[in-house]
Amino acid sequence: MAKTILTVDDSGSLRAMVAFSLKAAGYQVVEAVDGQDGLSKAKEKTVDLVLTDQNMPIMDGLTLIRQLRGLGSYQKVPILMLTTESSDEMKAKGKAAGANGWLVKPFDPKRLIEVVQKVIG
Amino acid sequence: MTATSMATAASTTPSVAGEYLTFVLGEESYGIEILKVQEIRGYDTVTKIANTPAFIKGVVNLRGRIVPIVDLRIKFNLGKIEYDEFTVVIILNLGGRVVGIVVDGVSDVMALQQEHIRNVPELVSSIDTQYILGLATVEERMLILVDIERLMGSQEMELLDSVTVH
Amino acid sequence: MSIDMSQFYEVFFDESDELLAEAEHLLLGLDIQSPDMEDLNAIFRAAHSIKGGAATFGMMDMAEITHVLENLLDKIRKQEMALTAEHVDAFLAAKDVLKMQLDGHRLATAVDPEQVADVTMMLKGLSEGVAIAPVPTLTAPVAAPAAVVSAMPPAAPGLTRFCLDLPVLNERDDRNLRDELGLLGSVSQHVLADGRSQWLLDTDSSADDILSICSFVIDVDQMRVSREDMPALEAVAAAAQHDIEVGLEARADTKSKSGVEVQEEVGYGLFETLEQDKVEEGYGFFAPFTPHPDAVVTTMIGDETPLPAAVEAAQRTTRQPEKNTEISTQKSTDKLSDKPVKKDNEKAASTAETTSIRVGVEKVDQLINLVGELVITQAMIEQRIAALDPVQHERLINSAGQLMRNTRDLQEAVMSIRMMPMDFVFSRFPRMVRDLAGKLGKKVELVTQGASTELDKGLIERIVDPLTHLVRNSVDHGIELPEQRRARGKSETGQLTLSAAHKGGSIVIEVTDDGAGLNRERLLAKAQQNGLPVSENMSDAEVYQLIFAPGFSTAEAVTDVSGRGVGMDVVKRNITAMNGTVEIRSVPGLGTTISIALPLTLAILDGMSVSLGSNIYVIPLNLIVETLQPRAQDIKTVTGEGRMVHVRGEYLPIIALHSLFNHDTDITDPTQGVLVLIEAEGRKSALFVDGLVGQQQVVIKSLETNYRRVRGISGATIMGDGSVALILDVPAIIQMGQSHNYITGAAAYASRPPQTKEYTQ
Repeated sequence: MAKTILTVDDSGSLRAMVAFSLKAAGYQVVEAVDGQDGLSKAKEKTVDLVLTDQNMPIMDGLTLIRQLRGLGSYQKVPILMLTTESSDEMKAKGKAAGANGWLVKPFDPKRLIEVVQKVIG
Repeated sequence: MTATSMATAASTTPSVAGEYLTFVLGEESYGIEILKVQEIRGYDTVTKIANTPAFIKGVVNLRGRIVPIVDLRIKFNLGKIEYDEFTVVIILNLGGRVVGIVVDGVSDVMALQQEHIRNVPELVSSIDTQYILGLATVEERMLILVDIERLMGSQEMELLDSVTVH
Repeated sequence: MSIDMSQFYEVFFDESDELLAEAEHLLLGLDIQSPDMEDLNAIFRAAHSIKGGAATFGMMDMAEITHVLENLLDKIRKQEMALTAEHVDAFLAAKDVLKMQLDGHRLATAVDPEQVADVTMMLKGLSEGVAIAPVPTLTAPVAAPAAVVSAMPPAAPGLTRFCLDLPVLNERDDRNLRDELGLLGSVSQHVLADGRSQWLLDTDSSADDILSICSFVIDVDQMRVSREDMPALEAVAAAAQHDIEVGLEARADTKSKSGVEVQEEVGYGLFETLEQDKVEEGYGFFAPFTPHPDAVVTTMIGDETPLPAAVEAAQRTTRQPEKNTEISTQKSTDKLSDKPVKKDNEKAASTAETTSIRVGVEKVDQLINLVGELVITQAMIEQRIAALDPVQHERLINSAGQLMRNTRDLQEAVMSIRMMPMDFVFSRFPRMVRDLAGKLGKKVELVTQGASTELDKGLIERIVDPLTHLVRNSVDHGIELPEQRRARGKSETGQLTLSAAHKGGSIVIEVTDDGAGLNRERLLAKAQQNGLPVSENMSDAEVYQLIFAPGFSTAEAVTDVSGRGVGMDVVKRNITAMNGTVEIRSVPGLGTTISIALPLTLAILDGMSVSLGSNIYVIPLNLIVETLQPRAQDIKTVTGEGRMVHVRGEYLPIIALHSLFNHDTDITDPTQGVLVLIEAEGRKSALFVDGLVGQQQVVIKSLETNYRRVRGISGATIMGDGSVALILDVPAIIQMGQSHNYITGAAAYASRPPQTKEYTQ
């Protein structure tokens, strides 16, 4: 059965690119436009992996990760941050919030799939 | 009309077997590919369009679409030009463009095999040979198979903007 | 697998366009003295998003400038630098450059490299300029993070003492946090004078673990963690500064981690090598995380795997779920309560936006068409039902009534899909007016009203240019210079009002200035000079309409902005093409209002149905000046030029529609029929038809879908009885009437006035 990935990004173009690439690689994709949307989508259906942007309106990525980790069903779901900030500071914050890893923007579809496949096969 | 069918129509062994709707125009029987026919209906009042040839009767409302009606009897000088409850309009769907043609009467739908169909000799019909796919003999009657899409798209039918006619 | 990235360009372009417009809007609204944090964040986010997309899609020029822009914005956002007017100007200039670059990528338009370089320099200069830090002590750690890190002792075995600076905590949070941290080590608390707390924690856990734990109780952005052995920084509330300090701690922590700690935490050998590889390649996994090509998630982080602190903490926290909920609720209430109401609305609007979907316009149009059919079908049913006996068919009639209401609601709802708020257009004017007024040395305050009024998307796009022209004109020629205004006893700052409102089935858009007003005498003089037929008897409205005549300008000085009247013919033509009308109201010395009335959608036309023999034609109402039944003495036959009608001092050519269209009709004498005075592109004619049928809104259908273009016909529509009526193309009809007079068969009617006795100049 195809695994489902939730991609959270306020940028429609990046979301489209991520979703398209993931679908092309055989995953099912749920899209969300900000942290809050991501949280409600995540609640609707427990996904196999969450990819979230960091800087978003309404609810940022860190808050989303914390909220997800607060849900029983998301304690073990891998969460990766997509971030333009490759600084250790952001990584540490992400890790503190409960992320399992990070992927620095910009990335190309190939890299994305490579990382996703490493995480959920 | 695809390039392939265009080519076969012109070649000596046309592959035009298939189902045809047959209709009468004056003394002649014609057949058109059933797949090009959307529906058959009676003749309704048309809205006349200014400064158009007489065979373009005007436009009608076909479930919200504005559809032109062409009287092939006038165009080819065949049959009696009367409009009554027996007048039949064949609504064609030619690659998305919808056009109605007025004919004398619709006869039948026939499945034609390749062996029924002959090549077109000169001057057998009122319609120019270039629009004829072939001839078929059915019950000792000659059936003229018309390339209706090509005919309706021709410049002489005046149904398209001249820029799009080729 | 290779994916063609260019397929996402269009989305990126649209999105960037929107973000740039949004950023500009926010920039123009910024209060430089006390900028709104939310606004600054939103502007930052716009730059940030564009940067991310541009870098991903390989538009490096945009990525570069947004990077510089983002840096500067970040400093201001974090209050390391105070916002100045200079910044706003630079940001606006950067927005222009980005727009130019965007159009360059999208439309292959020219990009001025000098402008790009100038703006980049300006942004860099500002970014490196004097940093105005609100609290001087804070600049030290920001400036020299490396030094601090290198001064750190290596991760000591045993316990480390951490100093936690916490925000003001309520009792419950205080207790929960103490419990949570108690699990890591021993806690001692100190409450500072302002209510905030400073806790000391002796633990063998890392700063990360502390943050993980705290994140389930409070927002970690509101706190900072520092090791006791770090130079103590006096706690200052600004969240931005916490960010930096947390970062510092984390940085030190991660550094040590990439060596030893990773190994400790991970139960797998695979992790370490992966981590090293990935860091170089731009991604990484935190310990303990098992990358496994085939394994399912659950086996990956199985029971044998040591849980990360965060997950452990999460498990603990979920045992008290109400805690989290309460915090977040409280926070959001706080946020809302100190924001003006305006912000709430904006937030609601942005939330509404994010729940939207993108649908192709064709799909919507198809839907609109289908509903149009439904409306017609419903009207036909209604007509048939009207003929039935109301008593015998009561229930059928009731149901038909219900169908009618449902159909109308459905039509309204479907039509609204294509609707966009006028704000989409209005929002571009604050910037334009600001720049224009600056250039001209004028003071102008722009007021917009009814920005939420909705209009069809197709019309919205087409109204931009005419409206831009009108606004330019008003600033340039309507509103006077400050000294002139003072001399006239007005306030120095002129007011320009843009308004939109629904009136019946139309939308009325008005551009009003409180400037000098139009000068009737000068307009008349100018018209005479241009050889236009004018008379002193003309009403003010008619005189004002003269500015729409081609090449008509009354501007005394030609400026580089506009000459009043220049291009006004184009404005009028554009609006007419949208089936709209333009009206001018003006009071000398007090100002001018230009009022545009447009139909709500392009799909519907206000029409006048006229009869011609057995045919019905529809004439767009906006092109009809008036209708009249002429008297015999009003009709003049001009040799070689056909018949004319004398209306209000003007001679207008009569175009007999039945001749033009070769229709049979019994009415061939204009006095037996009706003359419809039509006007398009500044030319009037009298269209002679049999009679008027009535005024109604019609749904416009294309004749070309299944047929072809017909001269004199702009489209078709389906009448209530299901029959088709053709819509007249008025400009074409006027032209056809002028090239040939169909009544007399005389050749070429010239547009010059006929030489008859009655004609008075």
